[in-house]
Amino acid sequence: MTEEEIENQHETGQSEQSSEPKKPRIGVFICHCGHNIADTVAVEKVTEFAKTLPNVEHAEHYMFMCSKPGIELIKKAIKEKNLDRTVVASCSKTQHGPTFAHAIEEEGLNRHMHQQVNIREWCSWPHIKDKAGATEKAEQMLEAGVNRSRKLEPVETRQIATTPAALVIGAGIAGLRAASDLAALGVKTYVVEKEPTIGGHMTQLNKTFPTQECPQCSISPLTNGVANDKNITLLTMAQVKAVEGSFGNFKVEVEITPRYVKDNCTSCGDCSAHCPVEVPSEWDSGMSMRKAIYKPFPQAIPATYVRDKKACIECHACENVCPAHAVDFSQKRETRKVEVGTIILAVGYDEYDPTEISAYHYHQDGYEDIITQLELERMLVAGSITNSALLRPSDGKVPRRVTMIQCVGSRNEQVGNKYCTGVCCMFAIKNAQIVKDNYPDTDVAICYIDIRTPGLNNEEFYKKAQEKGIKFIRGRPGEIQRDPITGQLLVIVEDTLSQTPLKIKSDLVVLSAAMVPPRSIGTLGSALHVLRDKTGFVKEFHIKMNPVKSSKDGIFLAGAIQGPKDIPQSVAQAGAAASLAAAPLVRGYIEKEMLVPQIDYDLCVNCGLCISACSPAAIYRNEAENKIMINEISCKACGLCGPACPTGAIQLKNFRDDEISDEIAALAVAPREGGHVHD
Amino acid sequence: MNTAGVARMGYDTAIKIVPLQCSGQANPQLIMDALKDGADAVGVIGCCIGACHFVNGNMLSMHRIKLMKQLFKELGYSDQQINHYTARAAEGETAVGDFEDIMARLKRAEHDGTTLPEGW
Repeated sequence: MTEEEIENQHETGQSEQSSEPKKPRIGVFICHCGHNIADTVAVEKVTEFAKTLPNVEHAEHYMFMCSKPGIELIKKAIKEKNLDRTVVASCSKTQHGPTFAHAIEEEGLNRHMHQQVNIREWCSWPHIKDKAGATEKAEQMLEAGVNRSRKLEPVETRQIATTPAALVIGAGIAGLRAASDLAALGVKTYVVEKEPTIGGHMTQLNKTFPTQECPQCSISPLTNGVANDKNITLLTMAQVKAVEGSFGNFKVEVEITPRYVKDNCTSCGDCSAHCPVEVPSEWDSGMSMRKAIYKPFPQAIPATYVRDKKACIECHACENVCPAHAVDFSQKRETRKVEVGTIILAVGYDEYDPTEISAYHYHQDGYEDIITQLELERMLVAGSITNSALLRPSDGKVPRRVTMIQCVGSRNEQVGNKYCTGVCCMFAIKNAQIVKDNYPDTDVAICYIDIRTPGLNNEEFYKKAQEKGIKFIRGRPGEIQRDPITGQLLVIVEDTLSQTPLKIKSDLVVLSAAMVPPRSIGTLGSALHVLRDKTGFVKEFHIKMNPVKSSKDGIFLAGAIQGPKDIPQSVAQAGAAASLAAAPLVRGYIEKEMLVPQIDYDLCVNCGLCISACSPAAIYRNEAENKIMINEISCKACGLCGPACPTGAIQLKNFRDDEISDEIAALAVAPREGGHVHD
Repeated sequence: MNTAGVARMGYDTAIKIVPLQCSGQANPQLIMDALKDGADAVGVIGCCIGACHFVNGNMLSMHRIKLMKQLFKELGYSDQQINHYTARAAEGETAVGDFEDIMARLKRAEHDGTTLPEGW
């Protein structure tokens, strides 16, 4: 705001308080909402009551205010009665507030001159049993709304230029798809991935259902595409540490862990061959070992090797042997500041760790033949530690009896999570078929609670598994026992369909573990300031109508971070996220409503308490003039500054203390005592 | 509260709702206005800790209510007439539970005879 503008505001504020030059002309519209409101609240009575209120120039009720004829009634009344503001008593502000605001805007009124009163969710619906009480309350609510309407001021909408770049956090299938789509729209995109390679969990899988395709082959065009796209800057070994700014203009701090290998690495592997240190490979789910200087897997992108500083004994053999002189122990941690307009969060999931289910003995000594589905994938994949053979970890023999257990960590009230992951039935059936196809003499059984295979092709996939002779046992195993003498694993389960208790002898037990939020989301979620739900997954803006927007403007969600889902769902959502993230960048601006606080400098004592209360740091002291001022672009219209002020000098426009007080006045009086408060 | 309505969860018509941008916007002035205008109890409902859309507005409100309770107590009145609650948008039953809690605390205060006198 310029000084002049502030002065003008100040003057207008003064004149409004001393004498109202223009009397408000309020139009009141009461909706029946079919039966929803009218069955409980006597809308005609409320309408008659509205007519008695000061400054109400027009009051009527109608069946469906949000319908085309309903909107026409509002517009007609505005024209005929020269109304300058409206009050609609119907449903919630979120649902149809914008509908009516838009309608009055078309008639030349500022959209903020509309006041929504919710006599449905907040009156008729919760008070179905008390018609008289509900009607009385609706009258009070309407009066409160009219009181509030009287002092509303127009609010301008300003266009704010956006930074023409986007950030994608996470380079799994969802992140890669989103980045690719953004780049295709011409948007400069940063991709930040914390692992040394891109591709995420999809690259760890052996095959994808229902077509049993190779995921490395499916994802390869995408990984290569993203790595080579001129619009994409790929940062691996990188994590987002802090985010400042707001929608349209974010400043992101990215911390990059050094690889200790320069970009001129030719990926020849000599360093790894000469490295004396071996540690379990995280990427291979611990099924094989890797060196301290390594490439996670042959097709990894970037192909540059990476040194694990913690495992390294600093013998420098790698450095000495590297023909390209690419190994560089002197590399330091780097912090990079990236400026973007929108962010897509696509950090995926982790596999549930079944260790806490003690009855299943996962990772316990003597129970090596109990593994998870991801570990099974790593065993069956081409070039695996067993060369794709299905072997028992304990003795390396081919298992003759494989038992899979579903819902491990899912659908559980005691341990793990209550939700159904939704993907495990399909991937268990997929792996069961692969085992049966390659080892026809091996018995495969799946212990399930329900088999959930919705969607095209999936039921057929399930049917095929049954035809192949895979047994389906309906029961959740209570425990896995181990014969102390023979070492044979026994899966204890009741077949609930035949009501028979079973002890299934198993050579290999595979646990279908749930998809859970990734460990990193705690700190990352706080840095981004996105809401998460009880399960830990990031909460979408609206469960039905907007699963791609997060709780924070400008941050969008793609993939499993928003809830367990399979690959096609992740890809689809990533496309949606890219589209939403690109829109304000391609358009070049976002629209911001200038719902900002105003300062009465006669009352302001310059204490600066409002500055400490402001959450987006939108209030500051202008040193030159020693005056408190407002950064209207950062302001989030939260109103926290108001209560902090000892003199009441700073007031949020349209949410001033006197305005809210007027609203309270009508609601706080006891009904049935006759005393309705008029302004 | 919308969720409670959509699910047709019932509560007393004595409960009146004033929407604010943030629970942190609930000025002590407004709370006292409500009591002065005739409200028997005031509840401020905000987002769960850590979930405030504006970072810490709910914490400011919690602290504010705590101080106000102390003040009421020091003046010899019940500290149960003003309360702060947290609720999640998707949990209608939490909001209804909060409403019932407001009424229960008020009844207790009325029973103890420590409520603010009429027309103070």
